[in-house]
Amino acid sequence: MAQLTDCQEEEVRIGDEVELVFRRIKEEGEEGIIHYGFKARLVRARPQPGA
Amino acid sequence: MRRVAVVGVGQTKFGELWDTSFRQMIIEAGTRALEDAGISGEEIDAMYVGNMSAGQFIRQEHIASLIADHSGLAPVPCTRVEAACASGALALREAMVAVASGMHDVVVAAGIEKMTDVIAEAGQEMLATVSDQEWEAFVGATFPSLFALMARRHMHEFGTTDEQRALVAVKNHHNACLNAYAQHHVELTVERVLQSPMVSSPLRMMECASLTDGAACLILVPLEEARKYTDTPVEIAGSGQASDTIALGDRESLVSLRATREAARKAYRMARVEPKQVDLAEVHDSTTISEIMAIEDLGFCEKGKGGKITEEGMTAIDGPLPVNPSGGLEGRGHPIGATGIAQALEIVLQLRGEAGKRQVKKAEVGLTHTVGGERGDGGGAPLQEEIACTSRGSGGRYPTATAWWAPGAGTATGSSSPPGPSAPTAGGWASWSPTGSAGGGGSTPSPPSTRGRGTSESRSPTCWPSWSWRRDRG
Repeated sequence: MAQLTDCQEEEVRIGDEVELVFRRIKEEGEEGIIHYGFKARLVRARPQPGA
Repeated sequence: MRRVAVVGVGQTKFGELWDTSFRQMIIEAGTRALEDAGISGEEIDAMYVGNMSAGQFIRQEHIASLIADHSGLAPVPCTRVEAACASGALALREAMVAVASGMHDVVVAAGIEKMTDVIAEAGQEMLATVSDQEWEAFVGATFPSLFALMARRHMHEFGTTDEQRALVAVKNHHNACLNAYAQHHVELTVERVLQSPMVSSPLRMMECASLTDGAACLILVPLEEARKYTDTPVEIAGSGQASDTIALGDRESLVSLRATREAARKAYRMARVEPKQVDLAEVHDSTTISEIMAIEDLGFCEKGKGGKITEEGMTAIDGPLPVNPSGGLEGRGHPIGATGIAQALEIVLQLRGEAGKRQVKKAEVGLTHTVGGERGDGGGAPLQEEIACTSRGSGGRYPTATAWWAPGAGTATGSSSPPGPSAPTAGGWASWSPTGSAGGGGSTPSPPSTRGRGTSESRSPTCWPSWSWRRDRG
């Protein structure tokens, strides 16, 4: 299970193709220790090279 | 294996019981159940108590000993049972097994949760500890969000609508208005449900159960001895339990709970009952979609038609198959460990014909269904349990409704007199006996007080924000 990222809720449809990206999940405590993990991005929202 | 019957029931008012401690709550429910059964504490052989997480909610573990001690019943053995939202249902099953096996004769099955002594945000965090910490909680999933995924898929596959889901909440809140012990006394409309704040799209606040304090208690004995205690024993004719993956992502389906189907199959087989023979059911409506999926998985309708039969009024209190006449988790309230016991308590009252204004017309076979896991207020079903209760062989001989339940208060404000003729306080169960109890009519407890709430409509305002995706979206 993963969160979707780089999109708005309205853009997403059941059946959309997604890919995993490595992202910050959360920060913890006063020290702000960062927890990294995978999120899912719509393939059609992948940044284009040179864009 | 011996057949098992329920001969006594008792519960506290469900709600935000800020003036009642954990200890007081379990004593209150237990004393009422003993009074209902007409027995004294000395006759109890064993106790099983469902509780999800007193350690987190009130920082008190080892509650089985605490209850045995505070009720004055030690050294009677007391066992705590934990299975997330199914804790109470599983405690009942363990108590049933204890009687059926012949190990014990008079057994208490109880459930309790005190959830509102912490701020709501913290309470939601605590509930989330029953989901898969590494694969669900870490990435931000909460129970409503997991059920929201199921709702989306159900809408996608079967065309279930927002309005059909909202009608579940409207129905259950209406039923709760007829139940003096319920937490929420407010009539809803579809519009109002669909205008309530979004918790996790598409589920809205009025579609989700809330944080609740409450305790409930049943007394179980062998059926063959039940007539010594009551004229209206209710047999627990069958019970089924099943498990599934803890994480939703590992399930075979998002729109059906395998554990529900399997537990139902076992319970039906043991009770020798078909789904079409069930007269009424208390199911796990932690969210509106939970009830829709439950009535499908329990075999009351074809998969995908749960929303439709709700819309047609099939599950209304005067319909052919009343579902959650007590108000369900949404209306009655959902004190996690107490829920499974409270569901069975409702079935017992209905089968006795003592459910007052919400009495179902034909009530000979009832069924309860509890889902544990994926977090308290809306979860999947790693662990699951159902109990079919029937009044086998005794139907028709039950007396008609007594004045057990007070008229459903439209709004409950202020406070009223202490509950019951035997308002149980300190002293515990052991000190109570049928002859020792004073005050008019031990078999007709008064309605509970309505303390602890400003207006009954005011659902805990902080019960929802943390139910949506909670962590950093960055």
